[in-house]
Amino acid sequence: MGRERGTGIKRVTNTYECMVLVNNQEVRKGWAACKQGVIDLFAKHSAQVVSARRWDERRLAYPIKKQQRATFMLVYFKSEHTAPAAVRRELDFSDTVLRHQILKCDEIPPEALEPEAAFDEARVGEDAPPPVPPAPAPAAAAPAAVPAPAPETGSEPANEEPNS
Amino acid sequence: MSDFEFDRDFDPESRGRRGRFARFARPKPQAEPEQPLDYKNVDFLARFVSPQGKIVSRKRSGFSGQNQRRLAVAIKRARFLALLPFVGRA
Repeated sequence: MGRERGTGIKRVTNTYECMVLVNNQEVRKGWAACKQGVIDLFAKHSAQVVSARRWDERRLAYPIKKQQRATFMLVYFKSEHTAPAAVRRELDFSDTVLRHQILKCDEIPPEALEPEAAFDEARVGEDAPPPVPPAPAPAAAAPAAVPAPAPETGSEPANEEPNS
Repeated sequence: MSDFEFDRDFDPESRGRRGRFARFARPKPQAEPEQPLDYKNVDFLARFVSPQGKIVSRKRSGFSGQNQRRLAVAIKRARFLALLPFVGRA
């Protein structure tokens, strides 16, 4: 916090929390590149990204830009109070980002600094497989074995089909 | 003759100035949220949303005025990020 020499404008550095909804189609192409693309948007406006990690991948309560699912990315950054407006504008223009929300936060939670959990990028956005119905109970008694044909005897069986 | 039974034990004077409405003015024990009222805490917030998607009243949540406002803000933030529906149940 300080005052710029000659301008009289007070410079205030704050910590912000930004939740970004990333398009799953972009995530499937590669999470690392997608994440770096979002971080670059922050860095472009001299915001210092402290933490950027995947929060969750889930079904949306309502479709956004015709997408039913999205990957949620949580970014903590420090910047001057003028940067969030510029970052917000950048995120608005980005095709990767479906929606975003920037909030001021007092402190960064310790779990935000933990390493990100690995996940299968190729399977992002797939709905969970439907629950498998319970297998039918085995029959009480196994079906009776097919009776072996009676050994041929000299006399012809009565039910033998005629050969024509 | 109606079936109305007069409550002989009822004494409006003993219940203060509000009389028979005194039971509504009785201070209630205010519930503290079991989990933080944060927009990321979706499962907890969903407990305070009606099947139509409306935020429940203080009477049902039991929160203080301050916590009820925090609850409303958190639910609205979660709605914006499509974590909770605006209408209906997700």
